Formats: sequence, structure tokens, C-alpha cells
Amino acid sequence: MACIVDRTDMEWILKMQPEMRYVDSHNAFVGTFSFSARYRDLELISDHYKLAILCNEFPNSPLPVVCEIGGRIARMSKILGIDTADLHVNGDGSLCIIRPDKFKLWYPNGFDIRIFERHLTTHLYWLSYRERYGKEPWPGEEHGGLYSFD
Amino acid sequence: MALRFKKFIENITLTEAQWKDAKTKYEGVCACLDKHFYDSEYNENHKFLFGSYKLKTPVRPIVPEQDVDVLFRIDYSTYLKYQNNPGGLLQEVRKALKEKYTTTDIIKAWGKVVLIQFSDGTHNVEVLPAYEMYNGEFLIPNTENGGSWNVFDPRTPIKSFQDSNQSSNSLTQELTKMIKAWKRNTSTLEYKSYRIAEDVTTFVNNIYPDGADTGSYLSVIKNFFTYIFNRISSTDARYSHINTAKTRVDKAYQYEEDGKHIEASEELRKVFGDVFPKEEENDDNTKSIRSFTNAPSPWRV
Repeated sequence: MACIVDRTDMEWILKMQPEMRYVDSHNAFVGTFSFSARYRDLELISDHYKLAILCNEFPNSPLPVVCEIGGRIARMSKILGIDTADLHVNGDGSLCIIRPDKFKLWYPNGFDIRIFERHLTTHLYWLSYRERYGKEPWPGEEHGGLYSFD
Repeated sequence: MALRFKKFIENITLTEAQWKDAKTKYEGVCACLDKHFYDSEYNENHKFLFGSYKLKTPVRPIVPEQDVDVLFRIDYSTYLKYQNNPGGLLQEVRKALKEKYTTTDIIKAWGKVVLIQFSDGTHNVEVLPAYEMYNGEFLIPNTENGGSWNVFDPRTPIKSFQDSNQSSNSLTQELTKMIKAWKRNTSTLEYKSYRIAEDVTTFVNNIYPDGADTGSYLSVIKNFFTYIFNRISSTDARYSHINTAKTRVDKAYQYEEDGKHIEASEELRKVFGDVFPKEEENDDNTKSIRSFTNAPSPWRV
């Protein structure tokens, strides 16, 4: 179940995200995550977030725990006048990036850093789009905490 | 971007000579009133500066409608003399000023103020004769609707603005100036200076209570327009102007993220006018665009 990041993965993600660095002591990637992405025929969005990607925060989680550490999402919620939960932030400050029971659909062979980096891009695109255009680019999942990782 | 915003702030901030000119003008007006009402030399305790010159948020270039707002304290006997004739006090102030200022300067009295428009085309002074009450509020004459005395409390908004500015490391002041530059560049927009200051204070207190680096001023501007846009009605006269500014700043942000600094500065010049500096170069490397047609839905606990 644990998300194992080997040297090749590490080199790959640091090449993709050159403003992030690996913090060995915490098995975490910390820094600015940038992207330039487009969902279907929607607008192109280029943006960046300061993230901490904690690879072994919860040993039973198949995905790293991602926290936005620049205060951007908290500000966004105040600016838009909506709750941080509606911007998919858990009570502990981590991002709700996928419904656990849908993990296998997106990660059929278990955790893969390349899929994860792309997944994170789609999640951040969702947030930036919501902020810029005042609407969701695709529907977020409904509220509910009854799902679990298989 | 930090350097461009720094230069932008510099371009809209009054020069030392302009500050000196403003001071000379309002002190001259108050000195004239001191002579008339107190038979004394200029006494700085008789004046109370308020408005943008108190908040240090006037912007340049100086335009004809740019006034220094100042209260001139009258004594109790003067207040009693005009208690039932508030318009009479404004006329006395006007008359006193006419004795000093030449015919080329224009002096008008209406509503609550006497306006002195100087012929040199620089700062005008708007003076409000006022009686200060025991609680620090002022009574000011109002000639409208048959005449009355109104309570005026300039201290509360000034304190609120200054507190916000101090805790945000001058962000409140700098953002107010930037929004004023936008207002000035948007000729049909009605957005009073005091309201801009109020809106900026509320925004900074809520979103950036500890301030922001000049490097993130583009985000601050973007967030300000989004914040206001989300809180005004579509029937508000400012709505379409704010929407346009928001769209342009969002576009500038996108360009900036893509390393297209020239295009970003062009968008910002549409918002703020040519007081916003032009950028000469773009980044060499361009980001690769990720396209996706399927994505996991973000989840809400």
C-alpha cells in the first residue's frame, strides 16, 4: 500500500518540477509546483502552488499526502466566500485529491509518480479554474466520508 | 514583476515637491482663517487634515479635481453665532479667503465646504469649518435642505486605515494608490476615494493582514478584483468596470505565469494606464502545455 518513491522517480519529478526539492529526513517533496494545462476545450491555465508532498505521512495510504503551504487555498476560500472544504481541503489541511474507492480506477498498478504528478496537475487546474471563472471545470465529488481505500 | 510594481508605485506616488506644495496650500488657507477667526498667526492645532492627504494615498499626476481636505476648527462663540445659520459660516469663510487670494483663484462655497481652486493648476484645498465636540467628533455646517449642522467623524476611518496599514506593512496604502490609478484610468467609473480606502482596508484585513511582498502584488491585485466582484450586485454601477479589470488582470497573471512579461505588462497598462511600466523582454523558455480530457474529481470529506 505505501507509496514508494525510488531514485528514478525522484529524479523524474524534480526534472518536471524544478522548483521543488526533496527533503530526505521527511521523505517529502517541498516547493513550488507549476503547471500549464487545459481540460478538454476549456481555457488554458498556468499557475503555481507551494506544496508539501509527504510520501509516508500515513503508511497505509497508497497516495502521498499533499498540503498547500503557501496559504493560497485558505485565501481563495475567503476571497470566494466559500468553505475550504468546498475547495477540497481536509480538516488537517491536506488536499482531498481523490475519492479513496476510485483509487484503483486511476492507479490500476498502484502508486505511480508519473500518474500522480499528472493527477495533481488536474487537481490544481480545478482549483485555479474555480477561482478564476467562479465555477467548477468538472464536478467535484459530493460530500461524504464513507469511502475507503481498497 | 516585483520591479515593475515597485516602479508603478513610484510613478503614482506624489513627489516631495508636490507634497510640499499641498502643505503650503492648506497651511496658507488655514493661516488666513486663523487671522480672520482668531486674529492670530497660523496655528497648526486649528487644522485637521483628513481624506487622501491624511492617509497619504493621493496619486499623481495631479488632476484638477484633486483636493486637499482640511477641517478648520472654529471656537464655541463662532459656532453659537452661526448655530441657526450654518450657511452664514461658509460665507464668512469664503469672504475671509477672498480677501487673501487674488481674483485669479476661484473660491466657491456650497454644501459643506469652501473650495479654493488655485490658478497654478496644482492642489486645490477644500476646507470645512468645524466645531470639535467633547467626544472628538465634529459638527460641520451644511447649507443643503434649509441648513443644518451635521456630525462628522473622520477619526474612525483614519484610525482603521492606519491600523491596517501598519500591520500590513504599508500594503493598505499601496493597494489604495493602485486602485485609485485604475479608477483614474477608467473615466466613467464612479468610485469615491473614501470608499476605495474602506474596501481596501476590509480586503487587506481579511486576506493579507500581514501584508505581501511586492513580488506578489499581481496576485494581490487579482485577488482584490475577485474579492470585490464576488461581493457586489450586478446592478452596482461599478460591476462591469470591475469585471473588465478582473478579466484583464487574470489575463496578465496568465501571461506572467507563461513568462510572457511584455503581454502581461500590456494588459496591466490597460487597467492602470501608462503609469504602469512597460516590459521589454519575455522569457526564452516556454512551458509545455498538458492537455487532459479525464480527471479524478476532487473529493469533499
